[in-house]
Amino acid sequence: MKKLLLYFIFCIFFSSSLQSQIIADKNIEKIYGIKVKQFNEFLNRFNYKTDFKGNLIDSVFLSKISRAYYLKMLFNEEDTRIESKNTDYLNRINEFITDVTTSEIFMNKYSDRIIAEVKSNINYKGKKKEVYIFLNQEIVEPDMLKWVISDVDADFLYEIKIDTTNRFLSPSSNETNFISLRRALKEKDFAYQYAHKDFNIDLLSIFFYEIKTGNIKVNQVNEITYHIFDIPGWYITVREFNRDTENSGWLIEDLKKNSEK
Amino acid sequence: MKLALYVLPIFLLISMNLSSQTKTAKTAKQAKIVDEINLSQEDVALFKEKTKQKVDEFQQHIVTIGSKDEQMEKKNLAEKEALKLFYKGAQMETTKLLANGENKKITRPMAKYLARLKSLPYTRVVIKFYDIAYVSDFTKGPDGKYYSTATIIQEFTGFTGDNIAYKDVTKKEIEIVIDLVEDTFYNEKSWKLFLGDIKATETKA
Repeated sequence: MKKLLLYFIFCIFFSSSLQSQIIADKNIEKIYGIKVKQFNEFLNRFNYKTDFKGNLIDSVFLSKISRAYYLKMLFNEEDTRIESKNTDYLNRINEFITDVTTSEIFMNKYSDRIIAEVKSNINYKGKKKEVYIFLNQEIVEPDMLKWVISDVDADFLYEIKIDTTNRFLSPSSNETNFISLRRALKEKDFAYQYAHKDFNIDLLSIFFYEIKTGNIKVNQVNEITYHIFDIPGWYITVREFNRDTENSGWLIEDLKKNSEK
Repeated sequence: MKLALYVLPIFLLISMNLSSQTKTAKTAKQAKIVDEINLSQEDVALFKEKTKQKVDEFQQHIVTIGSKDEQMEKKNLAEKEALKLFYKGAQMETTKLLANGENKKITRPMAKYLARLKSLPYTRVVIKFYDIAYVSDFTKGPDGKYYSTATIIQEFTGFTGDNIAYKDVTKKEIEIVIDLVEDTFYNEKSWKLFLGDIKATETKA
């Protein structure tokens, strides 16, 4: 009798622990099923192309989830503006969703107007620094694609010193064999002032040069933010929200109106 | 003059026909080459299915390699077989959530990652994969290979005795590469699927 009782207690304990395990598993499956796991998945969901499992949207899905609702799910719900019910931002979101659904706007997956901003850790002359590398997709042939570096940004790459001194090479310097050129370019910080009026400092060239000389060593990518200009009249940023909720993964971090159509 | 009026259109007609013939022949030749180096939509769909199989295979190997109940011989074999699934030079980047909220990233060659998995400091290891896999569309790269990404979710539990010493849930993004590989034995080329770099992000500690 005692043995039987112990057996029952064991069965109850085991089944409840198994049950809670199943519930936990189901919960994880549900969260990860809804989570926007890849940026590619974000684009497919935006375009109302694939369902939560990545399958093409069928009539059953269409009847249950509208494109407007699906789009709404792509916004970061933990944004303080949404949590605090900021009417300006909420109205902007609604206007955006209405515009995208009524005008039937779809994003070109391979658009060069999708820019990835990659925040990276680097070593610059032995010191840890942060650099922002901007990349976009480039079509090589009609069906071939690659990501290319389009720009770079970092404070340390070029610190411009500005002062009011009027620096120039005199109109007659050519007649004196440009002797003044040597003197001018000795001023390391202000050499750029002797360039033509349209000169702009090209940080990307400096970045490549510093890599070539071994001054820059790229360590790791910390964060990616996508800047999307491919939706007429709108500009959105998309970032990965790494958290344990259904509203997570690659989500819209910010939405702005874009006058450029 | 009259003769020229008749001859000229005929000449133009013949030359146009000749040029179109040349163009057609050229296009057909090009098409044949393109067929050999391109995958059809049906092929891509098949490879998407094959991706899931390869990823499953990799998951099975991971479970065997990490298990403390398996014989070392079997673990070594699984390690060897798992490496065969990868493209040469594939790397594993793992991200750990630190207590201060920061992310710590470590990048290792795949061989090193798998070797490490064999000797984790736990008495029992349970590795579980969830039935959620997302495979993105394949896109052709400038090297002619096709690229995609598969996402899998892994739960890892390390025990010391009966106690859980470590537990995490990680999201793994696996690069998938389809490459045209030459079979020296049969002297022919065929498309093969490989796994590439993996980004593992800890999402739940």
